[in-house]
Amino acid sequence: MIGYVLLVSLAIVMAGLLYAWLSGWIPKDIPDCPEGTSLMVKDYTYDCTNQRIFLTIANNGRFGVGGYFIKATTKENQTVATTDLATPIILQDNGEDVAIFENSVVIGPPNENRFLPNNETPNVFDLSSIGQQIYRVDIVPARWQKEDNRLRYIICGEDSTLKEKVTCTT
Amino acid sequence: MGKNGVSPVIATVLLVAMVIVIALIIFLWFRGLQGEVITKFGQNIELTCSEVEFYAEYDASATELRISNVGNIPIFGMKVKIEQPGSYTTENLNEISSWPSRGLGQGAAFSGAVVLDAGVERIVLTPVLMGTSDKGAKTFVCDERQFGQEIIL
Repeated sequence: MIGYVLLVSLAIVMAGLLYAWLSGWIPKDIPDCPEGTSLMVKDYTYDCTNQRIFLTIANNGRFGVGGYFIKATTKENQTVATTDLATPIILQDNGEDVAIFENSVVIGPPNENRFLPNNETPNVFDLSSIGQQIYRVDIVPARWQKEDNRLRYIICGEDSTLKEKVTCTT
Repeated sequence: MGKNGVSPVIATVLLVAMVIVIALIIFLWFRGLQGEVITKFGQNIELTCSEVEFYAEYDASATELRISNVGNIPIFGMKVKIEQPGSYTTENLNEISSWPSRGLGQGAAFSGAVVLDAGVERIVLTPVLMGTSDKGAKTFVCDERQFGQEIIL
């Protein structure tokens, strides 16, 4: 009788340990943006004299967007954009509620993907703090998404990255 | 006929005790073989490595290394394998450059001076992630062959 009890409890303990170890190897769904999330630069004016760039960003995708990460290149042959443009953005009263959150530009109220398909937002960036000409802007959309009842701000990654070359217009 | 020997009860107790001890020894040995389990986002950190997304380039004329994290996994550090003809060295990027102490969060970018010898042919960048284990926060170097990004100079 004691033997059976010990054997069964041993089996349960071993099964529990094995489960705890194996459960770590089950891939979890890492949150990602839905396919078809996309932004585009509809129009831009790059004032090199006053070091300002005006970007009209449009949502040409199929889903609402919560914001975007924006970086620029400061050398002509540079392939990886590292100069952050989110901080030098000039927040202006253009009807859009724009804010800075974790090095990104959040459009509309936080926690909502309010920048809907076919919407446009005109944003102005003061480049005087960078002190160099920029040659390309890389824009990556970001979305608020619920994961395990937790709202997370998700960057949409390589597939949704927009790379737009810019030259002085004035 | 001799009647010497242990009683069935003692034999059973001894047998069961031996089984428990042997099972414990095997379990501890197996755990030692597996190494410490580090998790990130509720899964083994080795699985999280496959979700890391970053761009990297080395500008030899400016001796500048540029890395941009375009994924949702924070990159805590970066292992740099510097290969020359016939030899290689491995360095932590935070020891040879101004890599941020808290790493690169989602959407963040790094650009810093990294001076390489003239004979360097290629470098391989392998992300280092911060995870949690039984002993608290712990760093984990992703597998270079699977997740290392090669830059030919």
